[in-house]
Amino acid sequence: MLLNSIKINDQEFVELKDIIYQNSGIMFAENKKYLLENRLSKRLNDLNFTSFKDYIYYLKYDIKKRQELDTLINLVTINETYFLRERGQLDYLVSNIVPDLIKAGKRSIKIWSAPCSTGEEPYSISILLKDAGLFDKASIEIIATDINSEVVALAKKGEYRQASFRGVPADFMRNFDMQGQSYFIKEEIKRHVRFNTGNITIPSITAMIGKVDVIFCRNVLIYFDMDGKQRTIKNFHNMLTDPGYLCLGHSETLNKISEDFVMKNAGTCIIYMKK
Amino acid sequence: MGDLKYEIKNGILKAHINPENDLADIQEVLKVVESHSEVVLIGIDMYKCSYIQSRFLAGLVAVKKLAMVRKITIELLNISDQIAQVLQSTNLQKLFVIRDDYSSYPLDALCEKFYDTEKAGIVSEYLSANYDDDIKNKLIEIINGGNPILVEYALLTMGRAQDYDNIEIYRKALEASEASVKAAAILVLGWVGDTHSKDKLYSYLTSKEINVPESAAASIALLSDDTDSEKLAKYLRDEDTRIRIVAIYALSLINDEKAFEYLAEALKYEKEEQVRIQLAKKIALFRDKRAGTILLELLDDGSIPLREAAASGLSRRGTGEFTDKLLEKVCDNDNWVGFFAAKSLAGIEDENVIKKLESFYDKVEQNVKLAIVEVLGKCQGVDAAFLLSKINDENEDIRKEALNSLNLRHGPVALTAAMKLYNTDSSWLVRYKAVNIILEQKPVGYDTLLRARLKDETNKYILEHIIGEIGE
Amino acid sequence: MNIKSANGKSVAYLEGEINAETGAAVKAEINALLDKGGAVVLSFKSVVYMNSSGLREIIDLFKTANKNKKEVSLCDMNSDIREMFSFTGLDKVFKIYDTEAQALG
Repeated sequence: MLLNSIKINDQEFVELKDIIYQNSGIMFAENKKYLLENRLSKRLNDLNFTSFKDYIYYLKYDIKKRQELDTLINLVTINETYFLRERGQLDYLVSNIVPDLIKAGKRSIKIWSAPCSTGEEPYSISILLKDAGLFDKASIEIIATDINSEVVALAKKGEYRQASFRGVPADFMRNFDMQGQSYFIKEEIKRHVRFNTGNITIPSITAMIGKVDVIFCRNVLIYFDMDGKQRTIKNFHNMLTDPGYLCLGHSETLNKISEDFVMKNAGTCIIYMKK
Repeated sequence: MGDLKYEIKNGILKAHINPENDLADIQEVLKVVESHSEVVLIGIDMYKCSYIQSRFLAGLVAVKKLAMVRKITIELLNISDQIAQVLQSTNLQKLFVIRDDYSSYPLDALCEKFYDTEKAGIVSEYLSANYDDDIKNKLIEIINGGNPILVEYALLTMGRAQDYDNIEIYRKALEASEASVKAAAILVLGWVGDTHSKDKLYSYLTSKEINVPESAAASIALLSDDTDSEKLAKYLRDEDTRIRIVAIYALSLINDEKAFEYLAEALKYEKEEQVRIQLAKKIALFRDKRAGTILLELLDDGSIPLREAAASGLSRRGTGEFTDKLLEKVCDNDNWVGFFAAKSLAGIEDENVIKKLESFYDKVEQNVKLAIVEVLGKCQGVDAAFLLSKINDENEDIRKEALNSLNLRHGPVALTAAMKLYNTDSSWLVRYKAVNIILEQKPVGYDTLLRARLKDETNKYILEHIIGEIGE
Repeated sequence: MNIKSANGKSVAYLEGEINAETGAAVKAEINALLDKGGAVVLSFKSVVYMNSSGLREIIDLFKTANKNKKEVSLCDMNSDIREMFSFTGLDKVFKIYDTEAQALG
């Protein structure tokens, strides 16, 4: 029920990682054993299994094996993120950026979350904007994009497990309906977010999304090579209005990538502004 | 090109790579290794690099070649997912040991990893294993900083380090507004044995917050005395399903006679399937003889998931209980009940039971067949004939299990079979198992035998496994 | 309780049931062992049952060892006992090894 962990042995590990690879194209390296143990122990426990071997046989011989494969792939391949992650920028968006845009006479504001993964980031934005009463003051649209259509489908569904709620304050939960072990985002939050599938590194994304006022692109540039980083930032520059705001992950910088932005220290966080 | 930073300590060369380092720098590693005969292990620390230049990769391969001549292991430390992918796609990862080495990171950078859901737990374990005043002070600073994501893991780390000097900090964290911080504080108070907090923890048992009641149940059990089973038992009748499940869980941890009786009683009045399943799973963890009887009765329940949970519970309880009834259940119409029933017979020595189990083999589904073959490997007195007949089965898992069971009971027979199947079996799963048996038994010339097939072996897992064990 | 010396450590083989009474006895014996010197490995190989009272005695043992800067680790647990440790999160508090050989390092 809690931090239960069933150990995986070497043969089970190669067998399971092969099953995952055959069905998702993702290959787990040797140093990711703990990830499989952490994410799957609870599932094994629910199915009454005490070893990974039994679970592998379940995946191969049960009549519901197709469905279980999907469960497995979702459990092990989706990057875990959580609501209100790197909250400083989110608070700054709500307390400064959006009010400033409204003051400057903007009637319609677009905020883009890319990549949005399973939706925690765009929904966090929606919740905070709603709490601040900002949806009443301007027409605000949150656009959420990810390259992986499966995570976009999950984001649209808006169903979350415990792990997505690390560190959220108690009253945050009123935005969700609880059903069994799942929490569903309420419709009033969901309706402000528009999801789609897209690749942020290619130029055609600019036409697809159009002009935006604020971009959240956090903890993903680190996965790109220099060329990929530069292409992405160039796309962002083209898409941002003036003024335009770019939020990166807390350990990321535009140093050596682009000179088209100025860094702004906003107290608890860093924001990049279009030059 | 950047400067190469490295140090040599106790025969271990550790090179710290920057994103600016290129081929020339890795060639420098080569020179250092050549001029230092005492080097027995090379660690290439890449924690500062998020990606890798292909020329650098070529340099690494050159280092590997030299290392092989000198029989030196190379470890690639702290590589990013991006680099791991490059190594994978170029098929180079098998040349190196890949692992994380948190000693490379400054303390601040380590604590930053608490943000990363995947790494937070491991970093916390590392910090608690190396706990000292610097780490303690940093963690207290984090807790005072109030960022809930960091506070959660700072608390868990202090608890894991068994820091008994800061109990007030943990108690105070019980008042946090975030469920994740509260749940961490509750757990830590249980770990450090703070019985003063126990009454307070009861108030969290009925919380609606994520993980809070579950943590409270664990810690109450750790802090329990003779009176707690009774206190917890009332929650078995709570109207909220989740609270009833949490109470079951706490009572199963307390695991005394009173707790058993409350749970056995609950099974009589509890109606909800999901809760009944938890009762069955937890009752299986009691030593009380009556537990087996209860589970046995549940095998005839109308609910399939409940029957499966009961069968699984019986299979965990081991031998000696109700052999005849369980033997009969091997042919149950639900194949997972059959699977667990077969597994519950591990350790049986009665020849008649073994023969009967073997005779069921042809009547049951694949997963039950697998359980039968597996469990025969755990029974004294099983003769080799039945298992040997299965190493030619058309199902790869059956062949693999048969080989494994033979190895447990008839080592020499298994070795002969393994040496043959290693060269001839069409399934890599079976060949992999055969390699393991050969490596375990290490017959004379086993390395030559394994190496002889390397050129024909196409499965990368087997190649990696063999090369990892005996070298190229 | 059988005790063996290996690799500069003592391996103590716990047996049977670990509950309040037997746990207290184990604690006293291990404390005496720790007083004499090096690290101690507790083997759970022959332990058939443990409850939270027994677990608490083990926690207590760790508390004393920790205070005196002595190293204690655990090994060879069956899945039911391991589950007790992981359900309470204690599997990340104590050093637990799969086998005695790993614990002896």
